Formats: sequence, C-alpha cells, structure tokens
Amino acid sequence: MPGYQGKILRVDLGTGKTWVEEKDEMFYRRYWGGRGIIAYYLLNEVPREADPLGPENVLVFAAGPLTGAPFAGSGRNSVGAKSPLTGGYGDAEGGGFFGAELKRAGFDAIVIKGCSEKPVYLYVHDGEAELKDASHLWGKTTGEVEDLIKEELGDRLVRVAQCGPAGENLVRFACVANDLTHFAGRTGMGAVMGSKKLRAVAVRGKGQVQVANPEKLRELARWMTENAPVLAPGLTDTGTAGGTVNLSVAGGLPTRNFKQGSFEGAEKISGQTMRDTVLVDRDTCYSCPIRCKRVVKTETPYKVDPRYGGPEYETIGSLGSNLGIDDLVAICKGNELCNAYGLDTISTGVTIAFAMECFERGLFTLEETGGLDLRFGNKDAVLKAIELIKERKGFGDLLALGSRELSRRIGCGAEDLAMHVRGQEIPMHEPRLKYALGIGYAVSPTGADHCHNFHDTGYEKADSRGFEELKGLGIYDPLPASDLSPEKIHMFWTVTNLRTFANVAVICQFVPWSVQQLEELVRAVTGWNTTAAEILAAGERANTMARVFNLREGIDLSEERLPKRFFQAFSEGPLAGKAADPAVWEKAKITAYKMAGWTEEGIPTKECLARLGIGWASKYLPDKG
Amino acid sequence: MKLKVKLFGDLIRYSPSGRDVFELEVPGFNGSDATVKELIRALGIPEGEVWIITVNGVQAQAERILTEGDEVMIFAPVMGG
Repeated sequence: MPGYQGKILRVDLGTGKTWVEEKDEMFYRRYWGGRGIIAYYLLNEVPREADPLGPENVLVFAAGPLTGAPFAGSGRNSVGAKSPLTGGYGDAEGGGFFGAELKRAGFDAIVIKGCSEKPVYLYVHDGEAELKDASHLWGKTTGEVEDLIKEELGDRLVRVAQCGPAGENLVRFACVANDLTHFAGRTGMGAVMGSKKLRAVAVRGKGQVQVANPEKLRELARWMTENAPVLAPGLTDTGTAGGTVNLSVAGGLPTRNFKQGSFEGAEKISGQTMRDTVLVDRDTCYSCPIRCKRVVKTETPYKVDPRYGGPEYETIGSLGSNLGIDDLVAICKGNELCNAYGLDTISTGVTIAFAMECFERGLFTLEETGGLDLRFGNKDAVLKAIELIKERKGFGDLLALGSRELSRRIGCGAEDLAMHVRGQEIPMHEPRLKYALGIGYAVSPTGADHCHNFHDTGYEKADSRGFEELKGLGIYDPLPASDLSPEKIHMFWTVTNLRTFANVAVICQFVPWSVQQLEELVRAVTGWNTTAAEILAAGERANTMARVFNLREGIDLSEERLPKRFFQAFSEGPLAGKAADPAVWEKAKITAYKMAGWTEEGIPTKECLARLGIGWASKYLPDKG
Repeated sequence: MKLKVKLFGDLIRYSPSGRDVFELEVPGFNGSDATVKELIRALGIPEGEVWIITVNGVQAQAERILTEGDEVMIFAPVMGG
C-alpha cells in the first residue's frame, strides 16, 4: 500500500504483550495519520472519564501517509493521548527523524495502553518490537538516556523519543523529545509516558516507504530543494526567532505575562542576534534543505551544551520577553534545561510568568516560594524554578501543575492572571494583534495552540504570499487582522483545516508547499486522486473527532474563552487602545461554531459528522447534537 | 543619499549583498524627496510582502520622506507556527 505500511503496533504495558494490527486502505484514507488516527483510537479505546495518568489512557505515536517519503517536511510525527494538562483531547507534533524511522521500521503508528510496573523502553526494529528494562535510565537526562540506549543497542542510528525526568515525575506539561532537539511539546504527553513507566521508544528500520510515483515525487522534492533558498531564506538565516523584532514593533510580542506587547530588549533576544553571537550550526529534519533548527553554544555566564540545539521563537518569547528577560544566553540555558528534562518551554515559561505576576502583586511571599525571588527579569530565579519543576520540589511542585490548576489553588483573583485556554498555556502570539487567532485559541481541541491556528497578519494584503494561497481555495477578499466578520471566520476555518491537514499527513507547516503541490505530493506518494477538497476535509474531520472526544469527556464549553486580559487594550505601544469587543468576539465564536456545522452551543451536529464520513462518532455526542 | 537598511525574515532575499543589514547608496533619489515607497521599489520588494516599516526605530508609512543617514527597517508579515 503506497504511503503506508498497513501495520499498527499495539502494546499493552500491563501484560507486556505486543501485537500487530493490520488496517485496510479505507481506514487510512479516512483517518490519514497523526491527529486522525489518534482521535480514532482515543474515541474508541479510552473509557469515558479515564484518568489521563492511569492505565486506561491510550498513548499513540503516529506518522502519516507522507511521513518518511523523501521530500522536504516529511520527518515529523504526532504523539497523542488524553491530556493530563487539559483533561481533554491531547496531541503534539515534533520534527526530526523519528517519524520517518518509524515508517522504515514497518509501522504507521504505535498504540500503547496500560502501565508497566517497572520502567521500560520500547525497541521497535524492522517489524519487531520488544520491551526492555529501563530501570537504569530512570532519573537521567534526555542526553544521558539517548547515549545509553544507543550504546546498549549498539546502533548509533536508532531514533529515540523519550519523556525526560519531568515526564517521570508527572509534571503536567512534560513533553516528548525526539533526538534531544525536536519536541512534541504540548498537552503533557511526556507525563502520560511517565505514568506508564515508558521512558523511551527507540525505532530503527531498513525498510522503505513505498511510493506510487517515485519519478513525480523526485521532481517535487528537487523543486523544493532548488527553490527553498528563494522561498524561505529567513527561516534558514535566523530560524523561527527571526520574527521576534517584527512582533515587538507591531506590538504583539508577549511581554511580562502578556501585560505588554512590545519588549525593550527584543533585539537583544532576536534570531538575528542569536545568529551573530551564540549560533554555531544549523540543524534540520529528515530530508529538509531549509535547516531552520538552531544549534547554540556558550561558555559564560552560563555553559550551554550544543547537543540540545537552540531556542525556537516560542522559547525566545516564553523564557525571554514574557518573563522580562533580555539575556539571550540565559534563555539558551533555560532552553537547554527544558530540553534535558523534557519540559514544554511554552507552558514552563507561561506558568512561571503567571507566578511572577502573582509574586509582584503580593499573592506569594518570598517564604512561600521557598526563597525564589520571582520578579520579572530575574533570570537566575527562572533557571532555579525550571530545576524545581522537574524535581517537583518545593515551589516547583506547585508550578508543575500548570497555570490553571495553580491559579485555582491560589484563588483571590489569581485566575484572571493565568494565561491559558482550557488549561493549556497560551503560546507566543497575541490575540490583540491577531483577532481570529484568539477565536482559534478558544475553539482548538487541545486548548490554546498556535500551530493548527490562523495568523491574521498573513492575510491582510491581496498580493501577499499568504493570501495568494487562499485564492485557489475560493477566498478573494483580504481582511484586516482586527476583523471578526463571518468572512474572516470562513478564512479562519479554511486555514485551520489546511494547517490541521499537515498534522494528519504528517508533515511540516514551515516548508512552503502550495496547496496544489500538496495535492501532487499526496497523489505521488499514495496514488490516490486527492484534491484540495479532500485535503481540507481530512483536517476538518480530525479536528471534529478530537472535539467529539472532548464533549464525550464532559468538557465545559463555557471554558472556550480567552482570559479577560485579552479584551483590555494596552495603555501604550503600537496597539494602544486596540482590543476585541467581548460581545463582538463572542458573536464571532458562535459564527465559527455554526460555520463548522455545530450547534450554537458548539456541539457538532449529526449532519456535520455525516458530511465528514464519521457518522459513527455521533454516539459519543451529548443529547443536543 | 546613503541609508542604513535592515530587512527581516524572508525579505533578506531582496538584499543586494545577501546580508540582512546593509548600507545603500540610492543614486536615483532626488535628495530629500525620496520616500520609503521608492526605497522599497528600488529594492524590488513587492508591496504585498511588506508588513511594517520603521524609520529610526519609529513606525512609518510608505510616504515617509527619507533623509541622509536614516535607518530603515522593513518587516515581512509574521505568520507563526
């Protein structure tokens, strides 16, 4: 079957058994991979109200049809389970080589249930799987574990995905690390691994991904290799952090727990400064010529190990401007620690930012923080906090809960200072700059997320590259970033479904493939007669299934809102006086519900599920559906 | 008239030197009548690719008149991901 191995590896950690499940082509064509396959297994195999950190939760590592085929952007994989951070659907995607290697090892996905009694790791190689003792790995950093597994297996080319000590300790925003430098960061998937006592998954294979039309695929791959230097030179030059100054100048760089939108130290922590100071190399993912990944090395005042890569824009914001820190080396150190411990840098930083604002307002005393002087800008306190979160010691045990749970425990109005949606911390994109992005934060199945979302600023001008793409999908009117009209909501859903397609295909969103080229890639790899309509439907289907899972779990839809702060305009800076009117915003959200085929309460209708070919999921809907 | 120009993001591909920061002697400009719009045109940047412009650190419109020694920053739209 071109594009697929046709096999899903099943693992029961409670019994130690592994077996192979074979699926037919129509299963794959309906659910694709990534979020589609994860949502399918979560809906069908996780019992209602299962404990996210208990044996009933199901953890899925999933590639997609395009993963592992030889073209730029095909190295990614998804990791999903019920989230310990949000209590609802959880997944995250990471790059590197793990996804491609999983396919080469003979599997499209790994579905894991149960909890092991003692620490184990899963070794998957050329169609075989075995659980191996990981007692000697427990408590070690990601770097140490990677070295030990490669040494033990006698194979330097094995690809390792692992949870880090933060996941072992069930930090609710622990992530999954691929190869130390790529991360499925969000929704706490590392904690799910930790709860299952599954420290790592190591994959290795000598097989190939079967491709329907190799010649066409080679032509497409060659085109991107030749054109990437013209289409995406900024990503190569300055990485994702190349936009830091842009956002600060526009007033949309999260600063001091989103209290401000411009940071006086933006240039000092930018991708440009990184390139000119601490950058020693550029890293990449499977088969990609763009090389957007950073490698940094420093000796003083903090020693930063280059094997953990370097900070993305999200980390520059969450461990930098949003904490009032303008020291790039300190941010690199924080990034290195999070990567060595398996902590999501976004949730780590935003939770610390919340604690800093509470501290400055007197909601915590120095005694209560165990001596941590959590004033904005105190970089040493931040680095110490990261250590304490990983260990879950002292004040770190509270921070390890994430901002929502911590704010509930504090009370006294602290809830309004916690920047999250449904428990997931808000990433480094400002809803007062990008209005429909804020709607996307609210209605996302995983809580606030910037990847399967819409960035308004890319679609304001008719001749911009972002908007040009939409014309081919039948959208002809560019709109201001502050627009929340039904036309904008239509644009929002179109882009969101397209971006979610990347998470079912499973490919990178940064490689600038056009929609037409995506069609050609799918056709070349799978042999299917895929069109843009099928691509958009695949993204929408996966998102809808994830939403049905949330409804089945009793997620309170009144929580689909933004923190109050985002409806209060900044008092100064480029966006002074600008924020969405709450009534207009609420109306736009209901428009989004209705346009998706959901009720005004946000529940997908049976007709919506029928249109997407997932009528079976209606049995999980509450009565109103 | 000599200007200091800084291009951000993918706009680097319009840099005559290949570097994001460069000095530019703009011979065709008529002294103080040169505007940001003319500079952007001289660099060959399509209007749709420009998001924000600053002159000497302050946001400016395309009609802004430039003078000797000005520092102009040109930013592409940030998409995010």
